[in-house]
Parts: sequence; C-alpha cells; structure tokens
Amino acid sequence: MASDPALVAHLLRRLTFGPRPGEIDRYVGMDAGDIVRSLLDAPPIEPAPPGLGTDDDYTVLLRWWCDVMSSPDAGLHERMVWFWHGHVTSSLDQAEPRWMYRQHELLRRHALGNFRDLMHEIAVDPAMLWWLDGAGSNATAPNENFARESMELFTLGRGNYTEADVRAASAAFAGWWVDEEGEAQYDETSGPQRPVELLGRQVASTAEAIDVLCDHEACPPFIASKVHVALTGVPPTDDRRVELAGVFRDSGLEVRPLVEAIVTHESFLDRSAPRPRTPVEWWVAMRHLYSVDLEPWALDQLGQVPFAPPNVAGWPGHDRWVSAGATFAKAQLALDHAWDVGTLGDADPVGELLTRAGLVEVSDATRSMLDEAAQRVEGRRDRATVLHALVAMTPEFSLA
Amino acid sequence: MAGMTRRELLAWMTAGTAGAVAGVSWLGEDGAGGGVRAGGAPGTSTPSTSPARSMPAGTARSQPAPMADTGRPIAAAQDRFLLVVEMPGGNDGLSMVVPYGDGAYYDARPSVAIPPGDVIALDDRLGLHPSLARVAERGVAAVVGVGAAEPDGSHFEMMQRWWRGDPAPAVDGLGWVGRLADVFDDGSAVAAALTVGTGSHPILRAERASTIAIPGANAAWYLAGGENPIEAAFQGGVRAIGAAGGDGYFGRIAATAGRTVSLAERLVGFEEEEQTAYPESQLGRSLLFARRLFQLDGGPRVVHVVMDGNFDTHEGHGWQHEENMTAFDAAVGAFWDDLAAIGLADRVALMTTSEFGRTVHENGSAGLDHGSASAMLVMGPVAPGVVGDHPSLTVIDDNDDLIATAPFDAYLGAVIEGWLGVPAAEVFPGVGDLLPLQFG
Repeated sequence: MASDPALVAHLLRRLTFGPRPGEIDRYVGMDAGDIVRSLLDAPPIEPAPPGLGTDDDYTVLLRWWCDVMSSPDAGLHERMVWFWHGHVTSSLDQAEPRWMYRQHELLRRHALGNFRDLMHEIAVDPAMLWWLDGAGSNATAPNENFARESMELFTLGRGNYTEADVRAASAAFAGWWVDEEGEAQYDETSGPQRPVELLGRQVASTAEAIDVLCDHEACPPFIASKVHVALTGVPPTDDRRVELAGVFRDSGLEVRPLVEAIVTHESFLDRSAPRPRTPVEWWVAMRHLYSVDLEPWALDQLGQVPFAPPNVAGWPGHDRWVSAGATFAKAQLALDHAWDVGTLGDADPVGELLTRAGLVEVSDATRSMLDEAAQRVEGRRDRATVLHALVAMTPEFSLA
Repeated sequence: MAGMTRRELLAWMTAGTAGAVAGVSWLGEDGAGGGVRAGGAPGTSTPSTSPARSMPAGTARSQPAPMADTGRPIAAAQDRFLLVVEMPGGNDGLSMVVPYGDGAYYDARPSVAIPPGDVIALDDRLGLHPSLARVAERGVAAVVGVGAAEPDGSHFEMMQRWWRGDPAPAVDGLGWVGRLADVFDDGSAVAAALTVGTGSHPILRAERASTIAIPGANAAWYLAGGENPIEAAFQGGVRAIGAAGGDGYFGRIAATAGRTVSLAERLVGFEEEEQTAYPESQLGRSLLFARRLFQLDGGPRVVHVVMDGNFDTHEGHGWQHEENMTAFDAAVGAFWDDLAAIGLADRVALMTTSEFGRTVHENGSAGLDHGSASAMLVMGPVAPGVVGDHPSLTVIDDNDDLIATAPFDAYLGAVIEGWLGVPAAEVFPGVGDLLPLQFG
C-alpha cells in the first residue's frame, strides 16, 4: 500500500522519536511495508559516552540521553532502549550517575537482543543492586525487594508466583555487593548456602534463579504483552498474545523477532486510536518544532525524568499524561520558549507550521483556533511566537 | 501548663477519651475474588517552587446546600475541608505509633526499635515517633491496626485498593476521593477535589465530579490573566482548545485544557504576603498550597497530597523513617499554626494513608520488608488518642505481618462520615462498622 503523509507521520511517531521537520517527505509514496522494514533495519545510534566525573554528573547524564533521543537518527532501537529503561527499572534516586550510565549501556546492548541475557546481566548490575536493595543482602535474612519485583514486574506478572517463591528467590539472589569502583562483587558466605525451591525447581545461585524465571511459561506472554503495549499503545487480544508469546519463546527470547512480528502486522497501520504522547516524546517533538535547546529538567515539570522513574513499576499508563498538571507544565514551556523561534512566511503561516510539526491532519477546531490566533497579533515575530506556542498546546501535538 | 512535660500534657489531654475500642468483626465478608489489577502505576512529582502569586486570607465560601440525585439534601459540613496525605511505599506503623509497652516489639527489632524513653507517650502502651513533637502538641488521633483481610505484598495492588477505597482484591474503577466528590459536588466548584502534583491520579477518578491535578500556584499565570497581546492571544487559543470537544483521547485532552484554564482563572489575581513559616520541603509547599486552595471561592473540598520520602525501607529503616517523620512533623506543624492564625483550624481535618505497613521482624539489612496493617494519623477537630485495637505482635500471619483489626474502608468511611457528613456507605458500599473517630 502506498503511503500518504498521514500514514507516514503515524509510522514515524510510533517507530522513531519523530517525525522531524522534512522527514515525512522522504517516505511519502513508499510502500508502507517497506517503510516499516526500513525503520526496523535502521542502525542503532552508538553515542560517545557522556563526560561524567564532575559535580554536575546528574545534569550531564540527563542531557546526554535527551540529546541522543533528539538526534535525527533516534529510531526503533532508541525507542526500545527507552522501553527497557521503564521495564527493568532503576533510578538516579538511589544509584549514582556513573552506575546509571553503566546500566544504560547494558540496555543499549540488549534492547533488540536477547531477553535472558538482559535479565542475567541486570540481576548483578550495580545500579539495580542499589535500587532494589540487593547490594549487601545476606541469604540468612535476605531482603525481598529484587526477588519480588523481578517476578512481579520484570518476568512473570502477578498471580504466577507465591510468597514462598519470593522468599526463595531472595535467598538465591543474595551475596552480592558493590565495591568502590562500582563493580558488583560476590561474597560466598553471604550467598545461598543451600538450594531453595523456586517455582518448583531447585536453585542455588542468582544465575540459576534467573534461568528459572526466564524458563517459566508465564514469561513470554508477559513480555510480549508489554512490548505490544509499548509499540501500539494497546494490549494484544488474547489470540494475538498467544501468537506473539510463541514467536518470542520459539526464538529463544530474542526481542527483535517479537518487535518485528508486532510492527509488520497489518494492525500496526491502524491510526484510529491515537494515544497520548509521553512527556519525553512531547518534549523531543517540541525541540524539533522550535529548533531550540530545551532544558531537560523541564521534564520534571511534565512528570517524566529519564533515569528517574517514579517507582519500580516504571512509567505509568497513558491516562496519567492527560492532566491539568501536564497542561500547566506544557503551557509554561510552550510560551517560555516561543519568544525566539524562527519567523514564518506570510502566505500560510499556520499551514507551514503544522507541516513542520508533522501534523498532517488536524481537526477543524484546531485549524480555526490557529487561524484566529494568527489574526489577533501583528508582526511576523509575534505571530510566530503565538503560533508555535499554540501548536504545542493542540491535542494533536499531544497524541501519537 | 508550666512544669508539665510534653508527655504528661498528652496523657492529660487523652484522659477520659473513649480510648481503644474492641476490634470490629468483619472477617465474615467475602472478598470480591480474582480482581484484575488496573494498569498504570503511581507516580509522584514534586510541585514547582514558591508561587509568584498567592491568595488572600479568609475568602469566605458560601454555597447552597447540595442535593443528592435522590433529591434529599446531603448532611451539612459544606464548610469543612479534608486533606489526605499519602505516604507511598509502605509506612511502618510500628515506628510511627510505637508499641513501646510491648516487649515483643523489642525482641523483633533488635536494631531498629525505638527506645521507650524516646517515644512521645499517648498512653502506657503506645507512643508517637520522637520526631512527631508538633503533631503531638496539636493533638492527634492515632488509628491502629488498619489494613485488609487478605493483604497483598505488592505496592501496586495495595495502592490500587487504597485509591479505590476497597480492601478486597483490586479491580479497575473509580477512586474513593472521586466517588466522594461525586456525592458532594453540585457543579459549583471548578474542582471538587484536587491532587497536588503532575499526572492525573486514580484516587480522583470520578463519575461526573470535576477533579484535577495541579503542580502549584504559579502555574496558573501562563493560562490566565495575560496582559500583553501575545499572552492574551495564547490564552484565548488554549481556551478555544478547551471548548473543542471530541472523542477519545483528543476529547479528553481538550476537556482537560478547558478545566485547567478555568482553574487558572480562579487562581490568578489573589494576593498574600510571602509565607515563610512553612519548611522548604515538598510537603511544606504542598500544604501551604492546600491551605490556599481551601480559601479559594469554588475551590476543592478535598486535597490529596503524595508525600516525598522513601517509605519503602527494605534497608536502613531507622534513619530513613526518621527523616520522613521529621519532614512530616515540620510541615504539618506549620500547617496547623497557619490555619489557627487565619481562623481555619476548626474547618480542616488531615488524615494520612499508606498502602501497607512493614514486617514485624527486621531483616539483615537493618530494614523492614513489605507488611500489612499499619497506623494512620488524623488531626484537626477530632478527639485525640489511640483509636482502634492494636494488632498482636506475636500472633502474626505466615508472612511475618500484623493481622489487621480493622479494614481500611472502616477508617476512610469514619472520616468522611464523621467529618464531612457524607454517609460512609455512599462512598464505600458494603463497609462494616466504622472506626470510632470522634469529630467535633
């Protein structure tokens, strides 16, 4: 099917951090399947590391990742890095920037790679050990944080394990600590001294416990569902869930085949049910629209700071982004940064800006609101200011 | 009161109150069974820093008596306000209302138990955390043993239950503050209930009442009161967005913009001197903002605040919990002093919530894992002292957790009925006997 601009915009919104100004034109007319494949095959960004080691590390790290996501090459791999960051969560709240960066590298390595490898590495990742209190946990009286969350949130979902399994897993995961260099170390005497029964199998180490979780029949559908929601905005139907779980399981828990199965499906082209843009998506889109360097700490006002999810469940669902608080925060950002934007032509400033924003189809209400606002102010500079700020506030700009 | 220690004062104040009442029998209730956990997870955000504009003292409220859909008038208490302070992560009730008179407490927690000489005694068995000095001085009802018949160790499951106001396994649905707002909202308020922070909150989910989340007062002047042509054009445009209507998320984003502009219009244009008495903490800022919201004409009746702080103390419980209690005491102390100074202290009640308490025994990291029943605090025109039956520290469940003596809807229901005059069963269908909180 040859794609029209609206379909191209939809695919770019879902499979990249775009559409960036001018990008839609490159794909219009191409077959939709070819566009999806090209986005699926796009090479990952391999950014140079941030320069950490100063007093300003938090800001440096945050700005670094925001810059990566704002890159014109920020595509599907980048979206999956973001997804995993919200799935196997850790936070700057409890782990230093250098450890969060180290964990981030881990996620970048495995974002479209192997889930089992990801889980093995994350279980002994220093940031995770600090975030879920694994560091220093002793098998004689282990704390249960990572054990519980690894099953509830990272691999199986609720209802697939018991409190006894939580206790067993916490013993199996014990023995790790983090040294001065930020390296995970294992202490035999604090680790499990005897096998424990976890989900019906005997385990005596972290690695064995992780394998039991990944082998569990609940794992593939749980992960398949979450990835489906991340990419399409909605949970899969029961049949689809079974199908995707099968793909994921049969591939040996490889992420790329799962993602491919989701995005090459005809349902992926459906534009009828947009979901709210997350604050990070909106913020990146703002940067491109305004062609300005936004302060990443503004994301705190919007309720979503990268590297700092609110809690171990990661980022909340769509509804949380539609709120008076978000409206207030967006108004502040939209207006504060609109004073120095580039001017627009006189012929059709509204149309020009909407195109730049990648808003191919807008409602009549939005169009007439913008047209009227354009009439209310005089001078190209003032008109550009008002129109940029209002485009940023339209419902369409907040949807994906 | 010269010559009296703080503890003696408290003992004097609580003498003669109803004191602890035998735990109610509610264990016959059937759980709803097999609830589906709603998607989404809680998020908190710190509100913005000091407001650029503020609100006047003592703006009078007047409203006609609201009528329920059945045509009968809802019990008075229109001029009463409720502040809900949520402590997310599982606040350890045993460290906030300390069973210093029970040896089992010290046996279970060799390193994190609070020494008996440090607590602020409420009676000869229970006392407040040492950091809660101002709370103690004001007077507080310490509600103990509050939890669920079938507790769960998951934050998200229990938070969902608390936000819905139903101790049974969580299903998706409206929030209890939302349902409460549905009862008393007669359409005259722009926001019947409000949460301080970004992101819409499940506790506010209502059928028809208008509920809202807002980061802080200075947010408003971007959306209302603009004086130059650019601001006016911008604000006019956002107002037009708000009037657009539409389906799905488009419609919701538009409607939210509309309500937000309305609220901004009300917040803008107030004046007050700079407030310096509140601590510069997230809770301090939120409580000051709440007080101003209560003064607002057509403002919210209920304000919900999620407190910053790590309550999920799997390790290092002692110092982290103390930090939380200290922050709470400083902000809440300032709040009541402020209310008293402007004559609102008899019209506001404050209640705490937390999704669960923590394990009876400490773990090897000087920490406490997820528990079940916990203690809650209620302040304002309420009879001070211990309310409810303290759970046993030795007869505990298989997960090393306290067995609750009252379901939490009996707690929430007691507050809304006793304080706001809304029959508990209207917001908490199926609630049993309410906890004996006495509001005056």
